[in-house]
Amino acid sequence: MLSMIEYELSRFKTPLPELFVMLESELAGETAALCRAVGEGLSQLGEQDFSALWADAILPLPEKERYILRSLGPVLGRYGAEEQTRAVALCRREMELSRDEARAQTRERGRICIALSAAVGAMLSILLL
Amino acid sequence: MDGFLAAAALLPPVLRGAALALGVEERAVCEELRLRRSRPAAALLRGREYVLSGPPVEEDDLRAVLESATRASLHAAGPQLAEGFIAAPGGVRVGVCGVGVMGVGGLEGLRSFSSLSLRVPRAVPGCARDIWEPLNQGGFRSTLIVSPPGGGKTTLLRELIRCLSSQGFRVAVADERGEIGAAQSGRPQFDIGPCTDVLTGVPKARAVGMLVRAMNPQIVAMDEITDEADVRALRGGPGCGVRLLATVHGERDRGVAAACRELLTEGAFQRMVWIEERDGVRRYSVRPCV
Repeated sequence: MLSMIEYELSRFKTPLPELFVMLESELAGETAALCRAVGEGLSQLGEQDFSALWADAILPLPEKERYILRSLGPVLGRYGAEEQTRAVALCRREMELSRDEARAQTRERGRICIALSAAVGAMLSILLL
Repeated sequence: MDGFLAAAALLPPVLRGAALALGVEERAVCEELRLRRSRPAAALLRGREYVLSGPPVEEDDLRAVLESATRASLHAAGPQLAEGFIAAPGGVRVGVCGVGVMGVGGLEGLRSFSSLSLRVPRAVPGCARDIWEPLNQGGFRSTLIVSPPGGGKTTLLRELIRCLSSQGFRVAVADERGEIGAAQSGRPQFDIGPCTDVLTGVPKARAVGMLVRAMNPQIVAMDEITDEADVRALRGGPGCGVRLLATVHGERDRGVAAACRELLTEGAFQRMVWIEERDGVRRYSVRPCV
């Protein structure tokens, strides 16, 4: 989603209402739901500002993703295309780093489990002998 | 459509409250809401600014207004910002002041916003009543509406479009800033008559050519002749048998804006409507163009 937002803002300066309708149709699952929520919120703009409707839309996401995406609320739609694109790019990199970190932790946990299993197995063998 | 409420709806909550605190009579004569950084918001009533209650305006307030005005798409409003305004929903014209952003092609937009002016759009049905007969004596002729800035040209233009369209004239409107029809999702929010076609958001000079070629109008209407491109576009109209209805800045003592004098000399307009304000009352007078 963030790559697509970055592309659309930098190349075409697509208005946000149009952008989130397009994203909803092209994405699936949680991300499509987020885009739908933003699109619906934009129709109520004025009752609440974009920052507030963005905060509501990202609520269902896991805490870590929510924490990173929160920074886009005060920026999207309020600044020029260049500033917004920079903010989205930064957000995208933080998400990628966060996911890489999570994958690394999972792999590490996996290695630890394998090592522990091997150690337990060896101990049992010794005990049985 | 209530133009004052449309303008107030663009404001962030605290400033909106200050604007809505105006009484019914004040709202009826409110021409603009003005926001300047580090100063309280103000309302322009009958040509004078009155300070509204509330805290000084901050940059974030200005960005909040622009967010509402552009549907959270300031990045897409560069061309309008380069002209110094945003056409907001409801026909509200938001004038913008700030620091120019210069690029390879010239002025690309504005940043570091310092002040905004929200023009309250108004429809005043019947305001053309007293000049309708003289304007149509011998048939409607190309007409130029003249007044100083803020003098009610757009309001009168809107009403004349409605009246002419209601008489069965096919009127095509070059509505560059979306102020005349205030179209939303293709539907004008003001009553501009049953035989009116509106082209919104296209530079006037280009729009006139498009309308003449494609919409077979009997009358082409536009607001504020300002530059050579507008003049060139309007020159083509009479040659095609199309009558013109347009506005221009000017005062009785000083004449019309320079951009328009050539058109008058060439006979592009046959009638002028002067709008003057005396003792808080607008008066219209119809004169032949000499």
